[in-house]
Amino acid sequence: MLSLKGIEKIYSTGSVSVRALDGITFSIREGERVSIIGPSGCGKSTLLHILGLLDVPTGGSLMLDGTDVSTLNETELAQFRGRKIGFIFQSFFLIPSMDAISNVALPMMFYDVPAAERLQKAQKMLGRLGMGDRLHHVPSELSGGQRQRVAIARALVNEPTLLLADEPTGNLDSRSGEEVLKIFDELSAEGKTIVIVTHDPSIAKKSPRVIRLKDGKIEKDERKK
Amino acid sequence: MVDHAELFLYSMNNMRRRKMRSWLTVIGIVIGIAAIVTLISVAQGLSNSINEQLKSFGSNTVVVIPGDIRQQLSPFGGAARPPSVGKLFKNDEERIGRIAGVDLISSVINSRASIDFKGNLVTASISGVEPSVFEGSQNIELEQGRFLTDTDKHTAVIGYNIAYDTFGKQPVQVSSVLSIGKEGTRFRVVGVLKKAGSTGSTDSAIYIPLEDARDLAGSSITPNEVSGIRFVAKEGFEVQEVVDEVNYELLSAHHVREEDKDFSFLTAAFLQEQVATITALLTLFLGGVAGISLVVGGVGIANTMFMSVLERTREIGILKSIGASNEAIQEAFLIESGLIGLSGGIIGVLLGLLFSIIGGALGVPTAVGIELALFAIFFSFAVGIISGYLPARNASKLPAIVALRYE
Ligand SMILES: Nc1ncnc2c1ncn2[C@@H]1O[C@H](COP(=O)(O)OP(=O)(O)OP(=O)(O)O)[C@@H](O)[C@H]1O
Ligand SMILES: [Mg+2]
Repeated sequence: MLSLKGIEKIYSTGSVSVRALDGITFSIREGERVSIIGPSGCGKSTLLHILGLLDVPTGGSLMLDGTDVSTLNETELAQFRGRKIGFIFQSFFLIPSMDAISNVALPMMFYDVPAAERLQKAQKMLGRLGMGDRLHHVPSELSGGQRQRVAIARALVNEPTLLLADEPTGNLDSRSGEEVLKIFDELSAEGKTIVIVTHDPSIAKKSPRVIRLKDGKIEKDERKK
Repeated sequence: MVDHAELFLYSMNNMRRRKMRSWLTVIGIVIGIAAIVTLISVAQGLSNSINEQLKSFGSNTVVVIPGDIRQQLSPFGGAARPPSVGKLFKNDEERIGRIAGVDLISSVINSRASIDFKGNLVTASISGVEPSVFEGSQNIELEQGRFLTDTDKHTAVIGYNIAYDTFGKQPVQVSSVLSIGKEGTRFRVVGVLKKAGSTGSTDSAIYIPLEDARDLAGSSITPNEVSGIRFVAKEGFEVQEVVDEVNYELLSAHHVREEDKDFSFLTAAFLQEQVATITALLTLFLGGVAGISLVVGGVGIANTMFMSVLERTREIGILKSIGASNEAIQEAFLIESGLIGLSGGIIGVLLGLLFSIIGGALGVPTAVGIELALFAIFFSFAVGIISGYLPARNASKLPAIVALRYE
């Protein structure tokens, strides 16, 4: 469902140019669970942003669900981001002025979901993630683990085919981290395609496939059997 | 695609988060709109009230006055040429009277004099007229008594205000006696006019026979001189054609060419034209002055919107990451700036209306049309949208990842 060919990202700031990604080629099948690991600065986040259509590569091609994304215009990209991809950030990125349920309902605002149904779905999703009793708390009234669960609910609510997470447990204590990981386990068991960038060896250990980056290149791509 | 109602709520919510700033920005627009509405309504009211007064000047009535009024009214010509020193005389009246189409002709001698009634002394303007004036005027009706006649001497017809207001508690009535002028010549009142109301000009008038007025004026006018000649164009004659003939006659009588003629014609059409020009200029000027404050308000909106975009850069990135299109982002910010403009417009119009009502109560003529109110509201909304356009576009064009990385 996802395939990259020769993906390249060069940042040029003034006279210095940084080759953050250098010829990344791999594909991910439907329902696969992949961890991307590697030392700091090796290009993991950059790669994930490109997968999430938040950033554009300076070279190479990306196919998502049979579409070459370089052919999409701004509006179509926005639709892809909203419908096919759920993105989870290390620092949650919730909207601070909105309560949990509004945050979760937000992605549906950009599509033809009726307002009443949106709130119903958001509530259901929060309930599934154990946040049913925190519907009307704003982010500042929630713990880190709770915020990340709201963020995951938001990423899932449009039923995306691809779930991307950039160090989802990076800002959490180990217990909250465990809980979040359990959610990923469940989603994986349901057949969701998940790509997680992580420093955490215990996450990587659970993954059936681990891609190790180094200096913008794939050092190792191994599948456990 | 995007739920516009929900987007509207989102923008409202953002404004509420910065309540103080939003209101201050709204006030910038309120001031501009209130100023526009108030000033234009004053200009409009002024124009209306002048036109109302002009109505008492019948559409067939023509007044010939000395001097070239076009030269004096012209904003550029006045200084270039000295005002004409010409005068009008009783024999000009006779010449004009012989022209076909001229009817009910009367000379007029205007002066100011002190008037004493039972020890109350006031100064007022006095018109010496011939009886045909009353026939030639519309909206001039008697409350009591009669008009002046050819044989009258030392008699007066007075306006409603002179009768009931000018001299305090004691009304001046038919057969009351007024002492007029330095020598205290006694004039017997023979008629009191009905209230003319807003058309006003006759309410404070005092009419006396022409030759009595000449005696009062004494040496301030030369023998046979008159202040003006008034006549009516006969039924079936074009006013302008009659005026052209009179013009021709007077030019040859005064031995002057058209360029340096020393008399002018006042007609209803001419006066209305002059008033229209002046009030249009006034409206433009006042509207322009108020418009400047609206521009300042618009800059205020743009400023607020740029701040709003800046402080919500991260949020824009978040919205984009969950599927908001550029159009949706732009719309959200335009709703915000449009709402600021719109609420500023509505409050401004209400305030302008209030000022106009207060002004009206204080005697300043004002007139607020529904068109002016609607135009002002629409205009302020447009100012909001235009001022918000650039900030909104900037916001929508931010690449998702750049917005998300913004600290
Ligand atoms: N906007 C940018 N402009 C210039 N260079 C950038 C930019 N973003 C990232 N880089 C560079 O690209 C390289 C890869 O960065 P990236 O954030 O992908 O690393 P990472 O693997 O996610 O690191 P970490 O594990 O610390 O999060 C780094 O060397 C970084 O300095
Ligand atoms: Mg990173």
